[in-house]
Parts: sequence; C-alpha cells; structure tokens
Amino acid sequence: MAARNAGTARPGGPNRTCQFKLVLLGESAVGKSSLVLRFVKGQFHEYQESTIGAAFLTQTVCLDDATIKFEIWDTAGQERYHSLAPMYYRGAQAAIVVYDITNQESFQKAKNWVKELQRQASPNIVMALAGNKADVANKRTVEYEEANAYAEDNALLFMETSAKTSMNVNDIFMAIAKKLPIGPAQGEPTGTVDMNQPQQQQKGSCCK
Amino acid sequence: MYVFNFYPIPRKSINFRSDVDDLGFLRPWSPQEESGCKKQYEAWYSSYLPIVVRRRCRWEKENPRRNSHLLQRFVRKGIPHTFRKELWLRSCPSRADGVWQRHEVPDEVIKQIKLDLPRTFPDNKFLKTEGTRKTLGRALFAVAEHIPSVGYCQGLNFVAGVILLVVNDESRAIDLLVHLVSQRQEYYGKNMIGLRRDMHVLHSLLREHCPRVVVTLEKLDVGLDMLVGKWFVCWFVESLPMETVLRLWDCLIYEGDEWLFRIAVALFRSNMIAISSCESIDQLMTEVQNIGTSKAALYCHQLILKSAALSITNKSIEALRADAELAIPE
Ligand SMILES: Nc1nc2c(ncn2[C@@H]2O[C@H](COP(=O)(O)OP(=O)(O)OP(=O)(O)O)[C@@H](O)[C@H]2O)c(=O)[nH]1
Ligand SMILES: [Mg+2]
Repeated sequence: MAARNAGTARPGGPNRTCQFKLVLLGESAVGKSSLVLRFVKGQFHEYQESTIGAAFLTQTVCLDDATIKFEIWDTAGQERYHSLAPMYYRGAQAAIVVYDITNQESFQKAKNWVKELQRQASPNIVMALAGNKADVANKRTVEYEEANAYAEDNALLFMETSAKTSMNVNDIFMAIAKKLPIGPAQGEPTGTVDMNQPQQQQKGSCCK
Repeated sequence: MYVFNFYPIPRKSINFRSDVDDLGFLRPWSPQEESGCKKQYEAWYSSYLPIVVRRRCRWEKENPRRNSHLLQRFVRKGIPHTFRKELWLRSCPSRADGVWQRHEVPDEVIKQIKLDLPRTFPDNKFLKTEGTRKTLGRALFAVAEHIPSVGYCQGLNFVAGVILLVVNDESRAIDLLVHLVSQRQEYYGKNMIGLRRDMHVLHSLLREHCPRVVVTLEKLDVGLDMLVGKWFVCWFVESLPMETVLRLWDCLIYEGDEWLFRIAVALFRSNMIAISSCESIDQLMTEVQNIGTSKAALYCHQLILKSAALSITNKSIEALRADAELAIPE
C-alpha cells in the first residue's frame, strides 16, 4: 500500500516550485472525489457526498529536481454539469479521466471525455485514465487489457486505482507530475505547438 | 462535511455535550474537547440566544400574520422554529390540488436518484437511516415526476434533505420541495441555463456593490460559476452554517430569489478585503471557501440585516436577468 506521504514536499528544499492545474472528469459516482480525498488527505469515506459544481483542493509532491503543486479541480459527474466543464479544463496542464471498472457505461463516458479533451483542451495537456474501484475486481466489467489498449492508442497514462485501498493513487499523480513540463522556464517547446492557441502554449511551462 | 448548526429551543438550553444538533447534524467539534471552533460557536450562540427568545415572544404576542408588511419584517428577523413549518408552507399548494401533472420518470433518472441517497448528508443522524433515505428517494422522485424538465439534478438531494428535516411531514415536505424547485426549474434543467444566467446577474451586482472583487476575478480570469455555483444550486446549504441557511430560507421562501443575491453580495462585501487582495486562484479559492466559516457567515442575524439593507429587489433581478439572457450562449 502506498505510504501517504510518499512524494509530498520537503519544505525548504533547494528546488523550484511549479504550479499545475489538474482537472478530474468522469461519470458520477466513479470515485473522483474519493481519489482526491485519498491523495490530499489520506482518507476514504464509504459514503462520499456528491460533488456539486466542483471542489478545489491543492497538494504538493516532490520530484528530484522540482516541487510540484497541483491545483486540483474535482468536477461534478452528472451529465447536466457537463456544460460547466470547459471552464474547469480550460488552461489545465493535466487531466485525470476516471471510470469505474465495474461499470462499462462509465468507461464509454470516459472515452467521450478523452475525445472532448483532445479537441478542446490545451494541446499539450497530460492526460491520465484511471480505472477506479479496482478493489472490487469480482464485479469487474471493464477488462484491464481493453482499457490499457485504448490508453496506448491515445497516448494516455493508464492505471487501475482504488481510492478505498489507496492502490496506485499516489502513483498516478506522481506519474503525471513526472510528465509535466517543469522547465527550463523559457523557450523550449514542451509539446505540439498549436498555432491557433498561442496563449495556452505559454502556460505549458509555468515554473517561476 | 461542513455543517455548523443548531436549532434553537428557547427555555430548554442546548445540550453542548451531545454530538448532534436537533436537525441531526454532527456538531463541528468533538463535544468533549475545547477547540477554537467551539469557542467561537459558543460566543456567537450566547449572543444569539437572547435574540431568538425575544423574537419568539414578539411572534406570540403580536401575531404578525395579520398584515403582510408586518409579516415581512418579522420573517426577516427570523421565524421562531415553532412557527417555521407553518410559515414555509403558507402559500405552498398541495399536489392533491392537481397543480402539477404527473409524468413518467425514466429509469436513468431513478438510477441517479438511488445513487445519491446514501451520498446525501451521510453523517446526519436522521438521514442515515434506511427509512429516511427512502423518504428522500420518494421526495426526489416526486420532483422528477412533476417537473420533467428537471428530472433529477445533483444538489437537489441536499435541498430536499433540509426540507424533510425541517417540515418533518413527508407529504407536505414533498409539496414544498416541488413548489420551490418549480419556481427555479431553469436552474436544474438540461444545460443549467438559469444558473449561468444568474452568475451573470451576480457579476453585475458585484460590479455595483463591491467592484474590487470584480477586478480581482477578472484579473485572475475566474468565473463566478467556479467559485459560488454551489451557493445557488443548493441555496447555500452545505456552504453556510445551518442556522444561517434556515434564516436565509425564511426570507427566500417568503420573498423570493432576491435573497440569494442579497446574501451572496453581503458575504462578498464582508470578505472584500481578503478576496480582493488575492494574487492567485489558489488564494482566491481558499478565501472563498473560508467565507462559510467566517464570522460574517456565523452571525446570521447581523448578516440578514446587512443583506436587507442592500438595494437589491426581485424587480431589479428580473431586469438584470433579461440582460443576462442575451449574453449567455446556449
Ligand atoms: N469499493 C470502492 N468504492 C469506491 C472507490 N472509490 C469511490 N468509491 C465509492 O464510490 C462512491 C462514489 O465516490 P465519489 O468519490 O463520491 O464519486 P465521484 O466521482 O466524485 O461522484 P460525483 O461527485 O457525483 O461526480 C462513494 O460511495 C465511494 O465510497 C474505490 O476505489 N473502491
Ligand atoms: Mg465527487
């Protein structure tokens, strides 16, 4: 089981601090809030309240050469809140799209989110796919191989996670942290350049 | 869950040793230990109790129901809990009168409602029992049945929970829920157009009543939807202390939506300095989340009086809504 403090910041370290905006998307009740609660506070609630609009939390992780501060937007999963979603992923440098491995429909929804992000989000956004509730594998309806193949085709990070047991929760955030462009602060291209979105390109690297 | 609540019962003093209050919500501190939070709460409570007792005597002596102007004044100063249910239901039609038609409820909607039943105030003493969860389910089903354009929208579960706890009579609680939601149904429809419209309205009001906040929002490029959408979806439930919510609902139910805006503007004004000095989204979100635990939010009587003094009326809201409707994309 991943230790809670694995990767949290050492205060006063010599390295730079970079802030990144991360958004969680996915159908209602797949466990977005639970993943965030596990990552940020090391807790899990059997009955997690439904999220209205979105919740905002921050957590800091430490890499060898930089400290990464995640500004996490945990969005509401219900379909009608979808119209508000672009506000949350606009300018985000990372996204975790979550589905529930016991719910095939939630996997289809996750694919739709990936498509929407590919079309509308910042072009160099780091995207991860999380197959949550891996602890209830006996009710599994989405096979690991299926999701993994989909993730490979779309160049997504992929892990099966469990907010309940904390399996792979820190790991998925750490994997994202490692893929984020932490510098050098100026100039160097960090991904595909989309000429239509010059401002977003600037946000790709945000070390201060 | 953040709920800061008590339900005043004059003459019988509140039992601070108990873990839950009279609506069944957990107190924000463990009753055995001293905490800053508890101290603040007790200080507020000792200043509030005399007000509650005085109001109740006035209600009993003067019977404000005989005159609508008098009643408005009395409602704004707080409906004593013994009269609250009666006043909330005062102009609420009954489903039995056939005001609303019944419609078929799609399975998908039922599924969503069921998912949220255990996810509604999971720590509340009354709502966590199987029986009350079923009641909550029937209440949300009734909304879907009578207002098909709404069906089920997350957030209504919290609104319904509070109504059930206060009205404490399933049939009339459902009447009130359907009645209040039908008045704001464009909030909860497919694209939540009403919510987005009202965020524009709030933006205009803030520009007028606390422009420094608007400057900060624009500088940091954050929309009000992201900051305070939940305030409007849940009518401040889960964002403010419960007694403050009840006092606000007294006004909201009696006078209408102007009160959502009055309170929102008053809260921003009370926290204007902290909010306008934010230099990052991170700081801004922290400050806005702190509003719920701020002194301004806890001292509900003062908050309501401050809000009442603002020049915001249903009429001015309607005008701003008409303008906002032109500005929002479908
Ligand atoms: N067994 C198991 N249950 C989980 C796990 N993660 C979340 N849950 C449960 O699934 C339910 C929904 O979790 P949430 O975190 O509220 O889901 P969400 O995606 O935030 O839902 P919305 O806020 O409605 O969009 C809760 O009752 C959790 O306890 C997990 O890894 N394993
Ligand atoms: Mg959630």
